[in-house]
Amino acid sequence: MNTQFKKGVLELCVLSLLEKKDCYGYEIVELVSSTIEVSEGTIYPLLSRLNQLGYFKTYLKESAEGAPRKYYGLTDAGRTALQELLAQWRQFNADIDQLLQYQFKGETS
Amino acid sequence: MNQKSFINELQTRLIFLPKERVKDIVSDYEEHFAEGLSKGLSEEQIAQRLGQPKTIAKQYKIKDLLGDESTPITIGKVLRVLYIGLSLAFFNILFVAGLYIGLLGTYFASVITNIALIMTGLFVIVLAVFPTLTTVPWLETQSGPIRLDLLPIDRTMLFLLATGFVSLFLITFIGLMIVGKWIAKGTVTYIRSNVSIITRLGGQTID
Repeated sequence: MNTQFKKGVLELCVLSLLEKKDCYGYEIVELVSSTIEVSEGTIYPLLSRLNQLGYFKTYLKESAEGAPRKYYGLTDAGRTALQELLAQWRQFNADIDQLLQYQFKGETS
Repeated sequence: MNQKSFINELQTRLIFLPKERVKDIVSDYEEHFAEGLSKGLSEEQIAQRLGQPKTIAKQYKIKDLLGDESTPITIGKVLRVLYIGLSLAFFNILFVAGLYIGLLGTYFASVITNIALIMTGLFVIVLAVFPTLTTVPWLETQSGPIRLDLLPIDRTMLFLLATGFVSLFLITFIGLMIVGKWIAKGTVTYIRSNVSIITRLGGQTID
């Protein structure tokens, strides 16, 4: 898959995961990389970038295993960005579907 | 690759980012390793799934320098980064490079002189203890070997003087090593501050 395209999709995935529930880094990485084939190291730069854009509120929470985990949750800006990306994604899907089903007029295959 | 070498390499490659930011980034990966280990993975497995530190570091740098890719990179922004970068480079070449090269030159000259002085002192100590060594061929003068044991010199005094001499320059040598560390640190800080100037000013949007 094209990396630029993949990056955009990754952003959408991460934002939509976090809309449902606040997650810690490892959780996000595991969820995403179990669905899309990416090297896990690309997720953290993405998280850090979205964080700098103000899409996340982050906080530390103690875990049962010991070390505190850094949790990510969506801010209003994050939710807005997600809505925009979702709209783009749906539009993109619809456009592709239309192209896939395109019939040339007056020609029989 | 284990955790230590992974984190080390990542850190080295992120050297041009502000310190606080590097600390933040590294802590993300330390947490990731800790989680993976608690799930029973080995450090090597975790590192392999993360991918090359080189590739990861690049992803931080690109966006830090030119801002976010989802906010479009405008010509204005690129020109601004170029402009700041070029004027900094000009300033550096004109004013800083000369001073810096001078400083480095002086420093290395001092280190070498210091080493030479220590060697000389050690040599004199050896001569004071074993005066007959002066008969080694490469120390012979035209009038034959210098016989230190025949010269009217108090060898004990010579030994003490030379020992003092060597100790003195060992101390200055240690001092020079510390100064060297400062110079190295200063260099990194300076480069970092230059890059952060470009990043901070260049990242601003022109409204």
